[in-house]
This record gives sequence, C-alpha cells and structure tokens, in this order.
Amino acid sequence: MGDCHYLYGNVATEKRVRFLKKLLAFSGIEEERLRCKWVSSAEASEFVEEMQDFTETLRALGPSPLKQAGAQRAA
Amino acid sequence: MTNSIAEVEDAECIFVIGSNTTSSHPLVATRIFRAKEKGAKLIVADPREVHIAKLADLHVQHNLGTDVALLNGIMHVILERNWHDRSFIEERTEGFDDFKRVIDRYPPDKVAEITGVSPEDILRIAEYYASAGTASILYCMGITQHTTGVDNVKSLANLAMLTGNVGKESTGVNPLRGQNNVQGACDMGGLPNVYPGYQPVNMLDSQKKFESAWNATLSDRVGLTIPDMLSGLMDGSLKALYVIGENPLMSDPDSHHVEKALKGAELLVVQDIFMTPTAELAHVVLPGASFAEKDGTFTNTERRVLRVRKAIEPVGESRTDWEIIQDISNRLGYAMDYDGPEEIMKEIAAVTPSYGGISYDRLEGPGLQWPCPDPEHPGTKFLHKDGFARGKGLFHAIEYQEPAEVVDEEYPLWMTTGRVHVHYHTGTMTRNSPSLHAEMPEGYLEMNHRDAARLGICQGDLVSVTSRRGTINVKTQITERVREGVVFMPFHFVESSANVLTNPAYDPVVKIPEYKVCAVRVEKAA
Amino acid sequence: MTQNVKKKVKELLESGKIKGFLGLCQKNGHIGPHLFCDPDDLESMVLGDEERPGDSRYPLNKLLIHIARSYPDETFGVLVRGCDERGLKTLYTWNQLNPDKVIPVGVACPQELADACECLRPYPEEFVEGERAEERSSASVTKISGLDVKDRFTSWMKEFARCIKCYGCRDICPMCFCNECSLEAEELIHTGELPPEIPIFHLVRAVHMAGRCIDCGLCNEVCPADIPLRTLYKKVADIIDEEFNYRPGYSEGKSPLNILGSAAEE
Repeated sequence: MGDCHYLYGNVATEKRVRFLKKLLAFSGIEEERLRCKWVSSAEASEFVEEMQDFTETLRALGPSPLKQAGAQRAA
Repeated sequence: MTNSIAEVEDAECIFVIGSNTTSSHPLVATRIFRAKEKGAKLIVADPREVHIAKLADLHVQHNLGTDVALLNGIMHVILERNWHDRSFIEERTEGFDDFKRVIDRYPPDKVAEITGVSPEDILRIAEYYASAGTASILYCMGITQHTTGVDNVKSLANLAMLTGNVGKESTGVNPLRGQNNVQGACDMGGLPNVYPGYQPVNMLDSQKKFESAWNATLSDRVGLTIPDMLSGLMDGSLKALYVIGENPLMSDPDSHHVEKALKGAELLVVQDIFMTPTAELAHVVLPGASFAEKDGTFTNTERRVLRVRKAIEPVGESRTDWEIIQDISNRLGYAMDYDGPEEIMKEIAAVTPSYGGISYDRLEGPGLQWPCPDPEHPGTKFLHKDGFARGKGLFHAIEYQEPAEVVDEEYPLWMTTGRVHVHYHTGTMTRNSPSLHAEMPEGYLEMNHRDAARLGICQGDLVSVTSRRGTINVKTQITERVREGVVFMPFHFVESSANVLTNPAYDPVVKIPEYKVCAVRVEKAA
Repeated sequence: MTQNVKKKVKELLESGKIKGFLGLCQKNGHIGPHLFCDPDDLESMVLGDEERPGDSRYPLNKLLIHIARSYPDETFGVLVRGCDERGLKTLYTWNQLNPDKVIPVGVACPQELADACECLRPYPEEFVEGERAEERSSASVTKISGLDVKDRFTSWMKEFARCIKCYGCRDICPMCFCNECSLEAEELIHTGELPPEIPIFHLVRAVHMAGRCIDCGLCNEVCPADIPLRTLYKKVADIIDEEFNYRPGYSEGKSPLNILGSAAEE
C-alpha cells in the first residue's frame, strides 16, 4: 500500500472498494461481485489464480441482476 | 378535469388512456404512484409501452384509432356481467336504451379483432374499473387527436356514467390539459364559437351582454377554426393572420400545406418569446414576455386559477401580451385603457359567471377552482355533484369508425406521434435549454425490431419516412415499445418534423386533427 | 414561535454584524427563501411550518453560496436547523463558504419532525428557538437491511422505476455544488429515456453522496416519484462512519474519500 505508480491511487481505491461493497450489498447486488486485489506485473501466476477464482465465484452467483435490468430497459 | 389532481391519490382504480403521464404530466403521475402505493389498480391503454404502462397492473396496446371499439367492448362486458350502476343510470342519466343497443353489438371477440386486445384483457379492464369503489379516468391527446376525438371522449363519459363514476370524489373523466394555461385560454373564449365562460357567440343573450360590456357591435357568427383559417389563406378569402404564442408551422398537421398557406397571407403577425419557424415567415414579429416577466393568472388542468408574479422586467424590447393587444386595439380604433392584469380580472369576473367570485385578493396561496360564482363561494373541487350542466347525463350511442387514413401496400406502416419527457411541444422553449438539449438532441423513429429486421434497418440507421404529404429523414430507434406494424415519432424537432407527415383530417365537430394516426412507408436513407 | 429568531436577527442587523439574514418568509400565501436586510422589516419571517413542522424547508445554505459569492466581503446570517448546520460545516470544509463570513441562527426541531426525519441530531449546537428533541436512529435503513439480497434489489428497482429524471434530488441538494455533474455524463448514464438507466442513475448519485450527505432529507421531500432517497443516503453515511469513523457535518475535517483530504494522507 502506498507504493503505487499513481501515488495514493491504491489508497483511494482501497477505500472506495470498502465503501462500494457495502453500498452494493444494501442495493441488493451481491458484494462478492466486486473484488480488489493488488497484483504486480511480475506476478502472472497469482493474477491467473485470482481470475480463475473470481470467475468461479461469479459463476456460482449466476447472472447479475443488473443484466436483467438492462434487458428490461432495452425492451 | 371533472375532478381535482389530488383526488387521484384516493381512487381505487385509475384508467389511463392515451396519456404518457410521467412524461407529459409528471405531477399527476405522482398522484397515480401514491394511489398505487395505497393499493389502487392501474390500467393503461396505449399503443406504446410508455413509462407509466410499465408500472401498470394491466397494460393493453390497442391498434391506433380503435378507442371507441375498445371502450364499447369494456362496456359490453360490464353490462353483460351486471356490473353497471343501475340507480345512477336511472336517476342521473338518459338515452340508456339507444346506447345499450349499440353496445350489444360489441362482444369481446369482435372487439379483440378490431383492437388487437384479447377478450381476457377486456374482461380484466371491465372488472378492475367496474368493481372499484371509486374509479378515475385520465386521458390526454391519445384520445382527442383523432377524427373520432369527440366520439372517444363521449365514450369515456359513457363508461363513467355506466358505473356511476362521476360526480363524486376520486372519480370522473379527466382530460389532462397540456399547457399551463390552455384551460384558461379556452375559459376566456379562445375558441371560435364562445365568449368567456363558454357563452355561445350565436346566442342573442350573450351577444347583447358582451355588446353592452364592451360597448361595441359584435357578430353573431361563429368564427374560424385553424383549418378554416389555413384554407382561407389558400383561397384568398382570409388576408391577415395574427398568431400569438403558437408555432403552427410545426404544430399543425401537413406542414408543407401550412407553409404554403402562411406564405399566402398578405399580413402575417407573430407574437412569441423566441424566433420560431412560424415567426421566420412573419411580416411583423412582436416579442412577447415570458412567464417570469409578467403578472397575471394561469388556469390549470383542474380549473384552478393561480397567480403568476413578475420576477424580472421583460428583457429587451419584449412586452407583456396584454399591453401589446391593448396598443394594437387602440391603434385599430377600439379604445382600451386597462391599468393592468388585476383590472382585467375584474372585467373577467363581471362577465364570466364561473369566474364571478374570483378576484386578485382571493388568489393568494393555492388559488381558486372554478366554478366560483360569487365572492363567498369557496370554489369547486369536482363537477357534476348534484347534476350535470344539461340536467341529466346523456348516453351517446357511438359506433366505431376507422381512422381517416389506413395502411395499404404503398404505405404499410401505422404511424403515431407524441411527446418525450424533456421537450415541450414544438421545442420553442425547451430546445433553447442546453441541459434539455443534451438529454435529447434530435428526433427519432421508434420501430419494432421485427419490422426493422424485415427492412434491413439497424439501430441508429438514418431512414426516410414518407406519407402522402411528404418525406423526412430521421434516425431509427429499434424497440419493443411499439408493436410490429406501428412506428412512433416525437414531433418536437424541426429538422425531422413529424407533422410533415401527419394527416390533416379533422374531427367533424371540433376540428382537431388526427395527429395520432397516419400511414407511412420507411426506407433506409440513401 | 419566531419571536426569538426575529429578536436575534434584529440585533445582528442593527449592530451591523451582518449585512443580511437569509431565512424564510410568508408572502402571497406561500413560504419561500428571503434575504432580510432591514431590522425593522422582519414581520413576514417564518420558520417554515406550513401544515406540519418543517414542511416548507429550503436549502438556505446552498442559496447562501451564491449570495456570498456576489458579496465576498460581507457577513450574512442564515437560519439553521440541525441538518442545515451540518450542511454549513461541510460546505466550510469543501471551501464553498467562509466560516468567518457566516453567522448561523439556530432553531431546534420538534420531536414530530425529528421522528419523521429519523434524525441523529435534530438541533444545532446553539439555538434560540425550540427545545432539544430526542435523537432517532434509522428504522427505514434497518428495514431494508433485514431483507434478503434479492428482495433488496427488487425493492430498490421498484422504487427507482418511477423516476422521471427531473434532477430535483440533485438540484435541491445543498451538497451538490459541482460545476460538472456525473449524472449528466453520457458515458456513465444513458440519456433520452424514462426511467433513466436504473439502478445506475441512483447508485451513481449515492456514491457521490459518500462523505457529503448531511441527511437534510430535502431530496426525499422534493422527489415527485416518492423515491426513498434519504434512506439510501442514510445508509451511505452509515457505511462511511463504520469504515472510516467519519460522518459529514458531525465529524471534523474532510471526507476520507477526498483525494486531497486529511484522511487520505494517513
């Protein structure tokens, strides 16, 4: 933390994600759909692992409620 | 409106027909939302799936111009199931037997064929409406802007009388008037056949009354409607036209014809707050004052007379309408010497029975609803409580008639026109607002995806739309909001003006044009 | 019950401590904001109780921003309830008003209003009118939190679906002072339709309320679609409090989400 190319970018992001997860939950969108993880460009295998895990999480949750809202809107 | 806006909140059933309420009358929509929250059933009949339709308990999309058939079908079911209000019909109405003979000819199966609404849905509308303790009808231009506009309104009145839903709170037949003061303009005699307060010009009593009030000789002949004026300009029987706060080049059907007519005027005077396309054609343009620059009153859709107060002095050379009219009158030889709107209101009260008790000192706060015949009268929340103006309410026996123009091989699509939430009428005011412009910068054609696929049209494609009157180019919006075979266009946009296409066929009685139905063909623009 | 406020304002005007007092007046049968400049002309002053306590409120602190910008050297008085005072404090931290140029005159809200608002502090630090009512926590937030996640979504979507995109919530908000608004950014929110893109439109606004909303509830009152926005923003404030121990208008300093704020520099 704090060791970011964009100066305090990751500090701000971490705070926003903490806030957003709770806002999403209150709005009825599963907070597991938002995930924040710090991975450097040298950690390819960690990135792959994380993405695979995240994909599994999303698959288990099923389609996003926002998707359905979007479909209704298009109608 | 027979009833008041706030009463909608307590209706047990609300039947919205031909009104895009959230777009055009959002504060009436608020009352609908609240009624629904309290458990009211909301029925919407509209050929398009407008915003309010998505919030309805039941939405039916009837074919364009089939309102009479739909309403007759609903009443057929009500009569068949004995859901009508016998004592109301007995005590308060007449003409029921002739009416019933016509209604008998509209069984749900036949009506389903005409309207495209299933017999089951017709039954549900009938049940929701007739079984509610209080049911309120809200309608707008989707009902009136047809060659059968008067028939449509009378059919709604039939439905309300049949179930006793008139003359009590939270019921009624409620037209939502589009402009802040269109009710007031009509009340003041802004119609060819009446003086203020709907006193007929061809009745000797009212003629005498106004001759003495105005110290002038008055004609006993009914004046011209807008279509009469336009054809008068074409054939030379009308030489001059003075247009106040209207943009007929865009708002009247068949714009090409309107343009020819206006160009034929020897003198065209336009009074408006912006340079409209109509004003561009004028010999003389008189800059009017906006709502913020003048004192006076507006009379809103629920007959409520409200004060408007000047916030700033008129900008530039603009002047208030009454001052301009007074000056013109004086120069034409009829002396007027009012010192302001309050004095004019005194005269209104003196000659208009329904405004008899209205004066500026009583208009503080929420204003007054007419009829308000004397200074002690509290105003009238809803009409027809103890009786109708003519005594008994008259049932009209009305047969369904097709729209003036129907689809054929050459023009295979039904087109209807309407409004969007961010623009107002011909956009004279709203298209001058940067934020409203940003929300919707241009017009569009709504088309069902099946029609689009058949014609090889994609979302956003520029298409040319052609009717018997002309052709315009516009972008396509592919949607489920309209059914297959129907297209829709808003009419606010001069560069793709829907009224180039619309049909100048009129209701025979009130001469309202059939903006809501015409036949078009759509092709991918070259 | 405006006597004490009038007395205080008269004093302030007469002593020359303030150039004008931004409060409410009753005129032509309506209640509206008014800048009182003459100590002998305070007759029309009211506190905004038309039919019920506090049912005619206005974002006076937001209006004060405009007045203060036109007269940067002058000091003005302003009528504040508990929420308005929280608004002032927050506007100070965002440099929208200069605390040295503002003198608040406080009124405490009656219990009826505090209950209806579910107000955590229904009184300003100092007040000349009213009595301190009991604080209330938010039952409306608890109620929604108690639903299961799918029902929460359904329930919010049902509310948002009525939205007519009038921007009333934003335009009345004393904390909405940005020159450019994300709600009008086409890249974020699709334009030209009703309802606006939901729940995106409302959640974007909720995000922007984080660290800002002082729970005055004007958005909720002005909404023609009766969308319970206040409940949504109350939760936003709760989250910021839980996570960062900061509540706008109650805590000192800048929002923890403010990039240049003190909390971000921890």
